[in-house]
Amino acid sequence: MIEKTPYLNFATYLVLAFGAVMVLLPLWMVFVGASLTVREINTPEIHLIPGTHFFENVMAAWQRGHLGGRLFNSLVMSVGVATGKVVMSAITAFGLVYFRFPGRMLIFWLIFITLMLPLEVRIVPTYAVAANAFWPIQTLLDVIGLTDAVDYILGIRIGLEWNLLNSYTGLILPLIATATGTFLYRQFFLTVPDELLEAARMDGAGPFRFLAEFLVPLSRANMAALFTIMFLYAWNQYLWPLLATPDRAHFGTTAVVELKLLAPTVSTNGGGTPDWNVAMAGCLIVMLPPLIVVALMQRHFIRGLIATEK
Amino acid sequence: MASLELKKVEKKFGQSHVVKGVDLVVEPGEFVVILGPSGCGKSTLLRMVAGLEAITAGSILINNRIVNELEPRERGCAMVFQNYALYPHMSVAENIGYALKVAGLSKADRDLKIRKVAQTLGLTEFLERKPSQLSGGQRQRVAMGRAMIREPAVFLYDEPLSNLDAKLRVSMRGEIRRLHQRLGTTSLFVTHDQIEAMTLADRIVVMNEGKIEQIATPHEIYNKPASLFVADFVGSPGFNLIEGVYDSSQHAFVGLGGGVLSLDRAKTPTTLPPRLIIGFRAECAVVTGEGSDPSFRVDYIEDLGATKHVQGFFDDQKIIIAVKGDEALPSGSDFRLKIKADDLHFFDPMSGRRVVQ
Repeated sequence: MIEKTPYLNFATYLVLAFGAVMVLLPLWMVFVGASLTVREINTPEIHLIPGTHFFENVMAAWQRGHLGGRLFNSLVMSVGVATGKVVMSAITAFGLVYFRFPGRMLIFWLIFITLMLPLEVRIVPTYAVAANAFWPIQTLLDVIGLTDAVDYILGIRIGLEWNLLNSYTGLILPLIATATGTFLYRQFFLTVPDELLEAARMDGAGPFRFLAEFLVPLSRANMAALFTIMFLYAWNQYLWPLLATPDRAHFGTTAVVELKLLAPTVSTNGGGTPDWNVAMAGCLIVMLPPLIVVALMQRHFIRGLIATEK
Repeated sequence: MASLELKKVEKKFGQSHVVKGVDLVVEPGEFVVILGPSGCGKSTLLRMVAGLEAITAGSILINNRIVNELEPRERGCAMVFQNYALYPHMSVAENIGYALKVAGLSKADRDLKIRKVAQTLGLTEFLERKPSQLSGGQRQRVAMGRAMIREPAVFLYDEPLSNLDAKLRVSMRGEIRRLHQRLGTTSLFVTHDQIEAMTLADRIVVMNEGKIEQIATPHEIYNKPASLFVADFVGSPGFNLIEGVYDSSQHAFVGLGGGVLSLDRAKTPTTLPPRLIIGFRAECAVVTGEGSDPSFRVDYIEDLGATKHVQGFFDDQKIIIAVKGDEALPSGSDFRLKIKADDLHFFDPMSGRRVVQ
């Protein structure tokens, strides 16, 4: 803002304050809800003052939701997705920007097209693949008749199967395969001056040295931003973990999916008084890790942005 | 010290023919400057020597070894870039020592060499800084240090001084010259600045439109330009070039406007083409009041203190004469021009080349 007038400042603060209240009020109500007893939370009036049963409810939520194990699952999945995404985006963008090879533009557009196919759109085929990662290969073999041929000649029926359901691999892989990060990196690599590459080449650095010792350190801010975004994206996933982890008894599921199970319905609490206070406490717990990640990474990537010199 | 040889080197970018068959031999330890206007292909030529640009045809030899297919690092060249291209995330010491790190030298050996180079360039107290914390001249020095530390066979400079302000440019020019005298490394320096070329070069290569116009010492380039382009491009104020015909009966030059300049039979080429361009430097003409020499009409005067640049007309063609600062030449007045026969140059307007004595 270039202009500096008291009225405008006041109006600006007013808008900011309004926005802050709009965002924070529901969070406050979750916190208040989590500190009440079952009886208090089921009275019709709106509570704005916290009660005294906060830790009790937190303990109840932790135990009933098996949140220890669930949070661990969520953490593995989110870190896996974020790390995988950062690594894969950097490598694919590196290949697209710095190498000339036949079909480069074709590959670029293929990656681009996946932007239009988010997980929710391709959920059925993705599930089919996750249930048997070799399914596409098996289908191909069936279609070209190789399965039958081998069966006829050797008497062996080819049946490839690799089930990814109820595994971290199955939770993580489908979420990594998206194009956004590749584009973020591509845009960044395009801003790196050519002379830098040329100077590095003159100094004898090969392509992988250039990636590791130039592009990676220079893109630290990008990496932090992408990691944060992908961590939150993976943490908040609901549909995919719900489908990919049918074996609740052994593998369990992620914390966000478990939250849904904490919410009191006739089936979960047997028709008793709905204990929203425990559900709210569970919410607070599940909210915490992404909050910590944002707090830690934000500082890092803002520092990265300030330190960048052109 | 290494020799560098270019044989019929060509470069095409798709349809455009940027370098059209360049032949050049750089002796070991020689400092050669490639001078030319922007877009003449001089940078492309340098980048082909460096290995950053593929060679369309011809060959490049360093120490009598063809390097066409070699990677930049295998050619033994070090390059100083126009905008320095320092590594922004590394300290000055890391910048200078990076090539050694890639080459696999131990940290102790590296530090020793970095210290030595930094001392030569006066960078010792800045070794821990990042490039963004340095001034333009210091960055330039780091770029030089990065090239020096490899003890390369050939130094390549791609307009390294054009990003500096005028004063710094002069002092960095001096430093480069001094450095070359001390190290004696074969150097190829690309610039569009003729003063840089004149002051730095053992020999200058003047390039135009992808071809070499002349290869000679600065003295010869200035005093014996091989073509109209060189005559016009080098020197400030530039060459006076007057078009006309050669009249063999009275052995004189007749300008298009009818002005006559009689020629000294002993000091002119024996065979002159019928159509002709004569040229002389601004400071080679003497203005006198009388005589039968061709007339010169003063248009206006640029006073530079020590000298005056007199803009005027000879034979209706615009020329410029440099005179001493205390000479009075009112505008509009007519004078006579006296030019020594040795200072007259003859060019063929068809080929643009000098008519050889």
